[in-house]
Amino acid sequence: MANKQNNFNKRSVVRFVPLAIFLIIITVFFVQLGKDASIVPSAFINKPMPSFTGEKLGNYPKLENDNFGNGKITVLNVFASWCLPCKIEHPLISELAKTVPVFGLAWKDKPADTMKWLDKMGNAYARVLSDESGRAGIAMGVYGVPETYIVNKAGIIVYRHVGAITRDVLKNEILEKLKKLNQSEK
Amino acid sequence: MKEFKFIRQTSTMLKTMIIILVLLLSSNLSFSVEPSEILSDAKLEQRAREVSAKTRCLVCQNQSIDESNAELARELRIIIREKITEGQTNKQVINFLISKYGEYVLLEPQFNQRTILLWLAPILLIVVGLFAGAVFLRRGRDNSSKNKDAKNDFNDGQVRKKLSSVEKKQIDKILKRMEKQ
Repeated sequence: MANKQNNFNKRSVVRFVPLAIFLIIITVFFVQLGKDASIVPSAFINKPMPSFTGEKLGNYPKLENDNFGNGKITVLNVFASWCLPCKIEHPLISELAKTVPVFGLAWKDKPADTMKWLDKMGNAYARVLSDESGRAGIAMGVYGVPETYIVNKAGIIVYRHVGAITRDVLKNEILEKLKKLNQSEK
Repeated sequence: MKEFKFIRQTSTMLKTMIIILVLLLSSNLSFSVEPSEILSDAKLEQRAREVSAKTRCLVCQNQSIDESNAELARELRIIIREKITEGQTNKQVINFLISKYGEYVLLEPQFNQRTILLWLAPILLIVVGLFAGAVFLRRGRDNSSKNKDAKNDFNDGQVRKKLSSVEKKQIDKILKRMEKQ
């Protein structure tokens, strides 16, 4: 009698195995498919800003490798005049530039177009680098515009945002991150 | 005459279809390497094509940079060719790309600790499946043979012989009750 009961229990457990597997798969799909696959994680998080070269843009102070780190937190915004989301986020970048030095990397953009765009939109950048070939961007793993990086006091890249910055991202991610970095030594 | 015309019509139709088919098939093999990008050394160019066919275009993610018309893909193709001309091996060039864009840049994931489950999953699932199938089949066979044995034993009176007197009485009681029902 006891044996039969045991058998029955075992069977009823086995019966739920497919259901359990199904639920696990559904959960994995639900979590993974919810992610935006177009956002590629940066290979440079927690790595120093790689060396890059580009051209000086008009009269704008030229951005160099040495401008990162040196005990100062900095932000790098990758943009282009042909990029509509860059136009949309620019007011927020200008706002951010009041609290932290923001550098601009004009990625795959003709210098003349970049200058026209900056004249029109208002320059938010403490320093600018013209990167017409895109090589400077590629050096740091840029794969589109806009992208926004936070570099800590030691010159290490600690954050990247792909795509236009929204008010929400600015408040809840970037300013939060800056606050934390300000408190820490690095 | 009428027949002849019919044949001629079908043959032109056939020709058009063949042409369309050829065009469709060849469009599948299209690549985006521009003439100005191509290296004069055919061997090096071949290597560059191999590397870029393995590299994911991060702008249009399910295309390789060999197929993509994106600006970034073009620049990466040029960089790959520069590095190969400099004398770097394919492996070195691929490692450069990984250092910039992470392993995601490879269309085919590498075999390492993080991807071991991904690579071994098919083999693992086959083994598990075979094991489960074997257990299932064997259990089925065992059960049926056991049942047969039990029946035979009972009919032979073998089981009865093995029981104690108390058990025999209990069984008789149960059998009688069942008969009444």
